[in-house]
Amino acid sequence: MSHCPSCGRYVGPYEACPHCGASIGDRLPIRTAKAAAILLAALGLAALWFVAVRSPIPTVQAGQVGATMNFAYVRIEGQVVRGPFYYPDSGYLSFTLADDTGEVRVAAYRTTAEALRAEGRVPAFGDHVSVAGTLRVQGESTSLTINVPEHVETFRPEAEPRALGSLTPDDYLRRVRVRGQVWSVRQPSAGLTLITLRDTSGAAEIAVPRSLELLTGELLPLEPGQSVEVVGTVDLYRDTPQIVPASVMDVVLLPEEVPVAEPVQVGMLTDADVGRMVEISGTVTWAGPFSAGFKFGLDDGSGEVTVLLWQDTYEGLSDPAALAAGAQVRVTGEVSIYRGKIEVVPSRAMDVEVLTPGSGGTTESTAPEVPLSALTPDRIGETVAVRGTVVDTASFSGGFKFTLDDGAGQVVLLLWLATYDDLADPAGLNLSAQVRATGRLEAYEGTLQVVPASGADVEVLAPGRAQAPLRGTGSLAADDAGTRVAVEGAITRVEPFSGGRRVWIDDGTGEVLVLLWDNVHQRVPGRDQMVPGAWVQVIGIVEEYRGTLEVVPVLPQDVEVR
Amino acid sequence: MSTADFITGLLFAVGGALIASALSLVPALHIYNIAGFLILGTAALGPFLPPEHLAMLFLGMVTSYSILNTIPSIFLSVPDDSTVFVVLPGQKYLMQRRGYEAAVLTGVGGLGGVAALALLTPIAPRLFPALRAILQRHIHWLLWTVIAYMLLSEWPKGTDRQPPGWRRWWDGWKSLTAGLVTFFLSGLLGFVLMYRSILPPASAYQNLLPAFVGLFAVPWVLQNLLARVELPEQHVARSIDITPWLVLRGTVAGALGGLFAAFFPVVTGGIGGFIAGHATAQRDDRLFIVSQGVSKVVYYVGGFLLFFVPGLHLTRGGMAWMVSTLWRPHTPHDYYLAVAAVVATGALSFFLLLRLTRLAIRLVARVHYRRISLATLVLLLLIVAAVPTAGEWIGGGTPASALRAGLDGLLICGVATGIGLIPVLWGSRRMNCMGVLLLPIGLNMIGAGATVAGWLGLIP
Repeated sequence: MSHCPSCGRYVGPYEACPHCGASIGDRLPIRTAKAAAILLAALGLAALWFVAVRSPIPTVQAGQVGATMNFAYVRIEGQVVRGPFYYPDSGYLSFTLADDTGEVRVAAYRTTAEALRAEGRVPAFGDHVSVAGTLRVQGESTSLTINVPEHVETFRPEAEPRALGSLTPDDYLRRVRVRGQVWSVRQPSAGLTLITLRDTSGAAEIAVPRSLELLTGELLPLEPGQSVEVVGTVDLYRDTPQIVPASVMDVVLLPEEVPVAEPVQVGMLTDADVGRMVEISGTVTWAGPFSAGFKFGLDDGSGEVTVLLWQDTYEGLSDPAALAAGAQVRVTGEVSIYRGKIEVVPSRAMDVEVLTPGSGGTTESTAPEVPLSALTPDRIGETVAVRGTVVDTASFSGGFKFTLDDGAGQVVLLLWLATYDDLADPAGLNLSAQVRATGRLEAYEGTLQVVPASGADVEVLAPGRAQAPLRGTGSLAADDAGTRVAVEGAITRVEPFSGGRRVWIDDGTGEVLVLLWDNVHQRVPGRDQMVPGAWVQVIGIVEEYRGTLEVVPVLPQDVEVR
Repeated sequence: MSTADFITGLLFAVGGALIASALSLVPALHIYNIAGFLILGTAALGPFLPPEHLAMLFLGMVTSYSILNTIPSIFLSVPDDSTVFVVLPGQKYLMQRRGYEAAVLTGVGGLGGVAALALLTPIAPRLFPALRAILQRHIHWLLWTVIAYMLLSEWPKGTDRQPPGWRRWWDGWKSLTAGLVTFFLSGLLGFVLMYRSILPPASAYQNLLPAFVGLFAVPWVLQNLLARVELPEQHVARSIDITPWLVLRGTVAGALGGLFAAFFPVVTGGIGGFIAGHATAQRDDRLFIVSQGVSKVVYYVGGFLLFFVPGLHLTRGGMAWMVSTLWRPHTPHDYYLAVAAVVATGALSFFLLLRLTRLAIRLVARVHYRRISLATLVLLLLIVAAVPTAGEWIGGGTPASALRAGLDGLLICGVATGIGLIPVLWGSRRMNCMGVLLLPIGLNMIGAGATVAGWLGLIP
């Protein structure tokens, strides 16, 4: 061979090529090597494929997964304990699967997630799932990526019918069917809707995550009072059972109403009923506001109980005035206890049904008029009628106080804002007015006070008016603190603050601050005209706050806008 | 991070570099295999090192390996997927008695790569998260563009000696056809391994090891055995034939390719270097060798460094994937320590390269090339069998199942070898073997992977 078979150059008698170093003799034909390579590649690949397709996908337990299993294609079986979570923008879907040994987060991306969604293969919370995919081990976190939608197999157990009150933390991950009345619907966050359902046994929340709506459709709009049936799996929120449906279609409206409470007699209520929802009917024996709402007594013949309406519930009543002594009422509410006394607390206005309206102010005809000197602490709780002259006024955030004097004694007439707003002649109720009022005798920090239930229980026999010497706005000094004065002038500026309005007025002698607390400001006649340039006259107490003198009117009528 | 922690981290990195320097001389022994055995040891025995120290050890190992693996690539012609391009010009230098110079040129490139990574440090925490945010939604089509460029940029290589007609056409197109067949067959192999691997799950972290050894290392060794090349005596030069301008050009081109490969999923250093080489129109062998030295350092080390970049923590490359199973960096200090470790171990590795290249020259002068190739082949097959066997054994398998796992590894390696021999024998690009990753992952990215796997009967 005169030429090198490797580089083709002339080699003469050499046994090795002097140019490239290749051996000249004893060589394997390239053609043979080529055939061997093709055979090895083709037959080997076929053999590998043959073995691979006959090998089952290995099943591993979550707790077995370790660092060396990174990228393994395996099957994991377990129950969905979190999720599914779905993010349409990124096309990311995930849920957490748990078996007896641990947890694995399962994820699908874009096309796979979309295929799972389109084929309805996305597992729901509580479903038993067998899923194959690629393991990713990253530190303490283990995840499994689904590559093939068909490798997700879901088994959803039959739901067992349950009463809402029977659900306990032991029911975690149990699939249940419940029926109840929608008590409330709220969204504590943008990604979650919580529906409180009630039946006669108790209440439970239905949790509808936003992801569930994105995966299965919009939740039907629900209103309190509607009756529904829900099938879902019990989850826990801080050890409190919640039901998570697998689909929004598992929340179905019922044609019939599911009762939320059983009728009971008031006299049968005991401490053991606390927390229980009851329905009671009877006659209103007394009624009146308190600082955070409205209370009334309900007597059904077997006993009397206090019914407490929080302010928002009370404000939701269609005709609050009808809720007066003598009214026939049916109430559904939760039994609670306050200072040793049982109360029934409706949480929705719709749970207070006035069957027959009360006459309002009926206590006037029945309550005895007593001299003020006869009011003693042992009469607290009685409904009394009092008469006297207003000798002092005071204001607080929840209402106004008027000190009545009949010559022999004094008592505070307390009007909650709702009652004050109900007065027939609020303008006349001021210093020196003659007043007759009927209300429950109560005590607050050792002071007796009469609290009328409504404005109708307060009668202004002779109107009064606050009076004080007119002072120049620039004439007030620190020595005037605590005195009642009248000032007038043009408004120079108005500033709101958290508790009301600050108004500066000036009569040409200098500026002074008039402080209007919200309860006063909201009731000032013509308050919308209190703008810079308007002329106002104010009667109020001079106070000093952080070195600044301010005139603080006590009643809305003490501010006159011209 | 205290000074003591910083110094401890550096010491572990230097330790890793020294370990890797010794192992880098062993032909075909990839540093990922060694790291894999350490991970396996952790799984079997529990953590023998705090994970943050193990990460620094791995960082030192990968830095040193990325510079020193030049030695077996040039003197023993045993490249991995990112050094395939170094072999051909390296062989040319070797046959011209300039193997030492080729190794030093690659080492200079490696230093350039380390410098590029260090220079990127101030901007990396802002640059790479922004880049990822921009590219994240475009990865799939970019990857297919890379594949298309890789396949379409190969031109017919006929001798023009065949008579006109089919024979002349085939003479020109046979290498192209072989390249396409290689890409297609390695892609099929990738599908089988990704969807229905016959290896046990406990060795899945090295699932592609038998395939990579078969596709890249074994064909070279077989070629060495068959070719019976006699190496000429090597000359240890006291200077290298390169100018600072060429080093700068090579560094820029290599850094571009390496960064592309490091940042982009699936793309390896070889592909990155290839694209950067074309982009910067390299025609000079010296420039090419330097740029490949830069590219593989930036690919291996830069890919791992992305894992440390604050606000990014991107998992790229085998080392990052292995470390991420045990630990994740949390503070910017981890990143700055990592960069410091790379700079220190990079410089150390360059000096080790000079010494170890002389050692390799003495070795190939005394031990016959064929014997080394034979020993390399045995070592490769042992690694291929040992990794799945050990994985299955540690994962609780029986001796029989462990043995079967080893045989399965050899089967995969054998099939891959058959595919890897096709470009060797038909003279097409070996890079087409990267179809093992590119085809299945590219199809997965466009959502067609499962469909194709279904056609192949891989989905039960």
